Amino acid sequence: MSRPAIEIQHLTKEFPLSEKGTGWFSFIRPKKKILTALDSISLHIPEGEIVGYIGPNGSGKSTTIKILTGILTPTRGNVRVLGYVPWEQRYEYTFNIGVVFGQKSLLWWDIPPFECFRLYKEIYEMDEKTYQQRLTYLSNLFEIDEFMHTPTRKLSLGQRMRCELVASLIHKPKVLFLDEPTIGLDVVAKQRMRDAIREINEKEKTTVILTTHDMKDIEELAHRILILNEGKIIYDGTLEDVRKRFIHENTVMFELVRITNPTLFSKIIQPHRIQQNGQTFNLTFDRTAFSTKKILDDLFDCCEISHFEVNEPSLEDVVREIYDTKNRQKH
Amino acid sequence: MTRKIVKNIKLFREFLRLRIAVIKEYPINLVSDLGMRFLEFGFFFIMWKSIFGAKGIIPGWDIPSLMVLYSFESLFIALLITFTYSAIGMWKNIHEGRIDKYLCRPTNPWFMVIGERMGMAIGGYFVGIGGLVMCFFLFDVQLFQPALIFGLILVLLATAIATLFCMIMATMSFWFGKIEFIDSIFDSLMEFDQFPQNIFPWQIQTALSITLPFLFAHTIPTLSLFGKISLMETAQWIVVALGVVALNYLLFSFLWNRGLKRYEAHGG
Repeated sequence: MSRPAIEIQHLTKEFPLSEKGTGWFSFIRPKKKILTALDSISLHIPEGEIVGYIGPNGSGKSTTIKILTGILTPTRGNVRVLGYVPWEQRYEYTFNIGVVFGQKSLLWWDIPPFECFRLYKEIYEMDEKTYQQRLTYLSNLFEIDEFMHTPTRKLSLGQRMRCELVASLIHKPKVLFLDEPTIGLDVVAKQRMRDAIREINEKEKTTVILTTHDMKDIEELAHRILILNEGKIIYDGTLEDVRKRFIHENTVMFELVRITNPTLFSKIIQPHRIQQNGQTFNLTFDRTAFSTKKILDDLFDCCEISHFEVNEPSLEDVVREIYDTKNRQKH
Repeated sequence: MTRKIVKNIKLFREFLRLRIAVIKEYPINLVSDLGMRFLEFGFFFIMWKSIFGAKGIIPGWDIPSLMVLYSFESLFIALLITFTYSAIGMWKNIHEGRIDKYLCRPTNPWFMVIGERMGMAIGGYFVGIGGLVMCFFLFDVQLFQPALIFGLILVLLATAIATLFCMIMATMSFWFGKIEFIDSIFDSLMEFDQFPQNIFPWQIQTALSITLPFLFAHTIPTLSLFGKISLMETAQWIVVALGVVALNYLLFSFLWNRGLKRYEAHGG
């Protein structure tokens, strides 16, 4: 196993909140309250891994990213990223990381991204030759050549996000933090971004921490997922594991032409849930107890079927189920 | 330290390049800025001429010295537009969590915010320098003397004091959140800009010296250029201004470092 790029131990972040009352003078002595955004989380992320960091809104994802990038100071706990304590060694540390906040642009609105890249060249103290080589590589990878000389305000969201990524990768960071990088993008733009991120990760062994609400991003990119809820990590494992652990049901959808053996058909569907819409049936079964192949074989023995599909719940369904389970346990 | 200074000089050059690119994108702004400055210059001249006649209503001040004062003031305002105005707005960045993108990069957030937003104020520089040259031709004001250099140094120091004052005020946002009042404070203080500062009581002069120091920005340079205070006295004022810069800087550093620990990065 490669050495850890990120080590977090018992990281806690609390925000003080003032609760203003309704009285005229309640602002004089407001009630104090503490909001725990991160509650003693610990984790290790090895170099070169892509980690999907997911959770509902307000679960603490962005707070974690902001601590790891040196923006916020934690209340308690230890963090080392590439051996640095981010908020204490901010200046030297930030030469080694790249950050994209999906909702906060790195580019100047009125001028072309190409001009902004030069500013980042100076910020990261790059020499001209390295900068030119890097820009050529990234502009090919993200296919921004034809519009990087156009003012940012005239670019589409997808084009702009690709330029944002180029700006954050220009200095070849060892760790890349992506906070909702595909927010608002269409499917084609998302796919292009994912392909480019994957290539950067594979070629340069860049560690990538990705927060997103788009489960397709996670499925396509992440080697490992961390699920956060109310400031606590409630799941840490591979995508395969999450499926094995949380997906217990599969659904077979089939379009029936006619039933050749009604007795056998009744026997097959009896232990399962079935939904009928005209000639289309959805048969949902416990995949840990029944084999998909056996059910399909039996169906073909007793029916004439024109079309069928086997569907397992999407990662989105699984994640929703995990959040719901945790909320039910809480209440 | 040297590495950071060299880097910031390079960054400043980049910001200038980007600003010029923006001016090229919207040339109408440059034209309107120049037009407005010329109108203001004319208005200032007519105002003092109408109110005071040819000379001598305020002891020690006449039309030529007031026009020189206005030229220094124009230069100072142009420098405020370039460096200080963006510092006033920094509290919004702090309050709305918009300094994140600078904090996670190897650069100074203040430098980035000021660089990103600096106004070029070409009209102000043009009228400031042009006004001095005009006074040389029209009123025979002697420009080629050490007092001019000292005066320009004082204008730069006054800009540093004003910028640091605004930076100090903006850091209050770490504690108090939305602090719109600092815009009003700045606007109120700006009301003093067109008048020679030595006509005000010493309390006002002192208060303005650590906030918006028009005394250093136009009054002392003008008095020095007209020989009403000696070069030695002007040098002493430079030392005083340097002291105020240092004081403001120390206070700002203290508040900024304390404030960053409280920063909550709101807004996503």
